[in-house]
Amino acid sequence: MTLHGTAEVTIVIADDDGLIRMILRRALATRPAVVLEATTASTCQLLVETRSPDLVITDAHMPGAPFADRLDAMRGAAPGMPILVMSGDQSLAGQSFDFLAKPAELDDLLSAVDRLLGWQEETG
Amino acid sequence: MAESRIAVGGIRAVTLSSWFALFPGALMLVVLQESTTGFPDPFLVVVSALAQHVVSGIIGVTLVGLLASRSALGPTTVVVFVGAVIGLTRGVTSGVVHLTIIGGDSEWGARITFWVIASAVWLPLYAHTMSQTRRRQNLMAENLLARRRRDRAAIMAAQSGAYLRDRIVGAVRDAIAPALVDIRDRLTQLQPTLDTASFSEIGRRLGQVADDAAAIVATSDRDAEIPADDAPRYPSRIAALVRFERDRPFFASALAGAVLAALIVPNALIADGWEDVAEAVLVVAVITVGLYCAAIAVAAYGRSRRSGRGQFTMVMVGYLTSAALGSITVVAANPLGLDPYDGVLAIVVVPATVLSALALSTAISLGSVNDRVEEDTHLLVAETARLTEAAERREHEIRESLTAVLHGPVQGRLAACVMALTFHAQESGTRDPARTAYITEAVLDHLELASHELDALITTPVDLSTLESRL
Repeated sequence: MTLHGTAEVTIVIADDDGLIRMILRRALATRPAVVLEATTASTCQLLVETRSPDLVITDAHMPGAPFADRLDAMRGAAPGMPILVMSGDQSLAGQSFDFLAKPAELDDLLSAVDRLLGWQEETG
Repeated sequence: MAESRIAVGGIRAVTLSSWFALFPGALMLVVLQESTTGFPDPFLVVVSALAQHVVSGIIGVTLVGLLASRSALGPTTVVVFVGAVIGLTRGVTSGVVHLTIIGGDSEWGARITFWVIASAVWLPLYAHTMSQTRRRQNLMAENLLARRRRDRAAIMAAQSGAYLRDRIVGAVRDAIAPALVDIRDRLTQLQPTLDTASFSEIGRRLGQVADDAAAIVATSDRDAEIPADDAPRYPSRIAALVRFERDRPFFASALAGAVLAALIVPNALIADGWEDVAEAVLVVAVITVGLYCAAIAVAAYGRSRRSGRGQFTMVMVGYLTSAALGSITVVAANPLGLDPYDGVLAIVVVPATVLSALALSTAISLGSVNDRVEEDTHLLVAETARLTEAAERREHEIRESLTAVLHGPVQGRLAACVMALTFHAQESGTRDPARTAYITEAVLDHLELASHELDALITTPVDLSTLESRL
């Protein structure tokens, strides 16, 4: 698989579950990305404000501020930055952000990341 | 009021079985009627009673059938008419039987007059009582069912939030804990030789467990421990149908005296002329006064106590005492000895009085008693709806909060395990044994944590029986 138009990007993974962070980091290793991890909402917000990431992949339910407040804060700090929300809470689907239900398939995750980063996928 | 009119016109409520139930009373009247000309021949009495019942039954059923095909309701006059026709039939039949067995003068006029009066008075009363009794059976069954449903709703409403929460979490634990143990065992067992297919298969199983947990939180059967509705059962005991507070007891007493007079006075005239009529009037007067006094005693008892059973016993004691007074009056009015008619009257007056008073008071009261039961049933249904709505609203809130509570510690961890297993299977297979071992250990630790979190969510269960005893 070859990705065209790729450049090294910064992706923040925000999840309080270490296993999730570990497997996401592993999955994103196939992409030209610098992966940063956050275990709390405040850390995630700090990374958004200081590192200007190209994408945030975040759990909906994390220690710290409520999800809606976090979303507003991230959008305020980085307008236009894509946010991929991963959660087992199906009620979050179909809202004003990209959503991936947990447990997600590897292919679905990578497709969503590629789409949000504007990377075109080509099977080679 | 409409129900009462239906009941009065509900002659079709007199079914074949209820018609046979009338036989003992009719037999009693045959004995009384035949004793006007001396001590009755038992063979004559039995044959006459049977013949009257069969013939008048056939005529009555045919007549009711004809009327029923023309109108759904029979107005009171129609019922009285049917009663009179049945009385006429009884009178003619009794005369034919008397003529056949005894011969001589059958006193057609006296027989027919007696039976027409007796039937025209008693049949509408009996039809009304049977109709309202049937209505009462249905209402009592509906009331019983409504009360059970209300009690059930009250149990649901009385359940504490903690109890509900523990039940739901307990259901989640019962459903998924064994599966988690099984999956952990399988992972541990296969750890040295895990391949891509095993990772995928275990991942799928864990995914199913996570789905089950979510489904249980959303819809677990919280009513499993509460008995389901029983089918409506009719009260099996007659006592349950007739045991209620009597309305207008003084009016009922007066009416009972009147209908007794309709049975006794004409026969007295036939038996021994005006002398026996005076005696019959005296007997009826004594019985009526006795029933009045009994009504006063029952009313006083009702004001002081509320026991329905005790009140009904008082009513029956009052009826029996009045009947006994009537019997004693017959004996006292004949100091030189009882002739056959008086002897029969002294005996027959006891059941006749009790049955008349009971039937009259029942007939007068049943309509309003049934209305009260119906109103009570409506109130129970409304209360059930209110309790159910409140319980459902609270349960919905608890389920929503539980979804949030269970999400991270349990379902989130399970989802993480699923993703770890399936991602590993898809991205590298099992080419790297060290990584496979690392992932497996991480998943096992996570499953262990999910089990502990689930156990920690359970608080001390609440015993449902303590809730029921509070109702």
